[in-house]
Amino acid sequence: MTSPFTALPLYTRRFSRRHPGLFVFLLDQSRSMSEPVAGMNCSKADFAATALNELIYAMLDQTPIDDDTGERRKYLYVTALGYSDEVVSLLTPDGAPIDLPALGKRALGQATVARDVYVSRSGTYQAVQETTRPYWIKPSWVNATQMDKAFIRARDIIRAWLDAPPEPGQAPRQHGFPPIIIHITDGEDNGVYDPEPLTYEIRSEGTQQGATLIFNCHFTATMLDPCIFPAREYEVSHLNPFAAKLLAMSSIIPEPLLLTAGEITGQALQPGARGFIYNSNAEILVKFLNFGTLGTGAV
Amino acid sequence: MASLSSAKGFDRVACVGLGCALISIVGAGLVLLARPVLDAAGLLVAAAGLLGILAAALWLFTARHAAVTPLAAPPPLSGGQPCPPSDGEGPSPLPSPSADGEGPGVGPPGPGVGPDPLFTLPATGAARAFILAKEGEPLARCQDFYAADPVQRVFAVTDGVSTSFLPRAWASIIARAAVRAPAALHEEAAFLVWLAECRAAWHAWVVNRWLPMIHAQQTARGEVPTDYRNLIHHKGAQTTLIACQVTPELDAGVRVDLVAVGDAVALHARQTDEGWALLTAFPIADPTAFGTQPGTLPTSSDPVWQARAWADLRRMTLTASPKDVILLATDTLAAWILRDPSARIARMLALPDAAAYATLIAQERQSGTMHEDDMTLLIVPLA
Repeated sequence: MTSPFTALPLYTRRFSRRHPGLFVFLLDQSRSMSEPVAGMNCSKADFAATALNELIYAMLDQTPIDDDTGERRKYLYVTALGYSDEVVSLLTPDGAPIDLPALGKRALGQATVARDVYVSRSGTYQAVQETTRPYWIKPSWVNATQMDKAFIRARDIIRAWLDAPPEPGQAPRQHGFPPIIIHITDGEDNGVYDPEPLTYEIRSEGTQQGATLIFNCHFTATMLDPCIFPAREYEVSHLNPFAAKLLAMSSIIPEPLLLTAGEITGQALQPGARGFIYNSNAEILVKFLNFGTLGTGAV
Repeated sequence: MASLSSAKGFDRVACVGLGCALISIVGAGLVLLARPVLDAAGLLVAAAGLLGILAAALWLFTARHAAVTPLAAPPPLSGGQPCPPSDGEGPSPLPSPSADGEGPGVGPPGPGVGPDPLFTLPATGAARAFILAKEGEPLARCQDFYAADPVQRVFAVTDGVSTSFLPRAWASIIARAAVRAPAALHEEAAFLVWLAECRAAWHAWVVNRWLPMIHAQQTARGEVPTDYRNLIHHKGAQTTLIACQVTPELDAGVRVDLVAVGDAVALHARQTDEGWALLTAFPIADPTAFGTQPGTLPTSSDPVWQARAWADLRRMTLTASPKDVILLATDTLAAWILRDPSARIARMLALPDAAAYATLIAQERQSGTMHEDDMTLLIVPLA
């Protein structure tokens, strides 16, 4: 499997200064997100916003610092869209992607978080260490869930970013790793249009390195029955009425990334596994997509 | 050296000033002897002489001070000498032994202190070194490093973990330290002391050299200097290591002691009637076995990390022929060689120069057989 334009196999281009990548986060901010999450003393909106902040922080933390300037390298651009019956940009005024180093300097504030520490004696995790983390997204919920609008906006942002002239030192964006959409939702879509066809359209576009990837993080108020990177509908259809649809809206994990995904999850993934996680930690996606370690060779 | 020359010039001027002042004093004395009472002219001449002495002394002090401050503090564990700055672009030329035993530097200059000796590529004697940064990146951003002691015949290649904090300096420190004290890598207590010394050297470099440079840049831009303490103390740098020590045996054979942490690889090759044959690859021989989380040497002082580093350390001793060759390669290059070892070892050994190496890597990247990564190779003949 190789790109039609270069001999470089699909989905193997690493993020770099020359070939930066684009992440688009879609965050469900509809009314249903106000429900509490069982056993976590927070709402779904709190949980989703925390997950997204953790994602951004993890990506920032893994972006190398330039020896010469002390700044993070411009390996990634990101944008985040919150949606209910309207779509709002959460990181920039107009939704235009912002490079990660610049975003790192624009945190809204610092939040104190408890970290889980493994206690070998009891074999359990305990939240014993507290630390501060920057945050960029505040929890919010209002009105209906019009997922289709969010995907339309994401599609347009991706197209504009890919067509934009590269910055000095960057290769044409069509040469880089394809854009990645990470969608965090409770799945209870009640929009006017079905978002699934839109995801097919988005996944039919991309770069010379492959089609745009869509990964869905689906979580419910119960947080029961976690499922990571399933391949077949029957693996999720019993979990939640919306799980099968979100699975279908998720990209099949490209072959070059399967090995990495298997290392992260601790088990080999079957071919056809999709970028879909249910009631699990969203940070696992960032580990899986660790931009310093895409493809063969770790460091 | 420019600063030193300048200081010597100041010395000469100061000496002239001092001489003039002494002449003035002697003149004033003569005036004093010639007149029974000191008049205004003699007083003025004497005062001028005293001022001249003070000025000359001040000048001397300034000149001496200027001769000392422009020189960089000695680099931790480097043993190298400052050298002319490199443009830092493209592949490094093969470092041929020079009078001072050093090749070209590849590091960016610090704030008024010249090229960083920590990034001076060492001479490698009969061994041949090739180093290339990721596509489109200058060599100054390459996070691989190598070191060599051609006399003791110890060689090392390191690969700084790109997602760690300031891995390039750490890779340099570890490579140099592995070459300087190879015995420390064979016993746990000595290893932990060795790693602690390396960690101290990295911290000293960060605090004394890197931070002042970065904070000066940020201040010049009108920014508040960034607080890097969390990154320095908690994240830190990591690197992989492959090192070899070559020792002639009494039976005309050669003993090769290999030490590895992570996925940098040593390849033992021998020429046969059919061409070059790969006899051993250490610590990884399977090109599909290069994972994403190799063992590393960390700057972290966390005992868990320290224990893990020792647990990740692998050793092997080979008995080789003097006609054999050892290739030390970083992971991506090693994986590429291991997919077709005979042919690719032959290609590596036939490389005439750094330009050919860069061309080969560019072709392989373009053809899709090699991923973007820093690529370092040290070819060590055992003769």
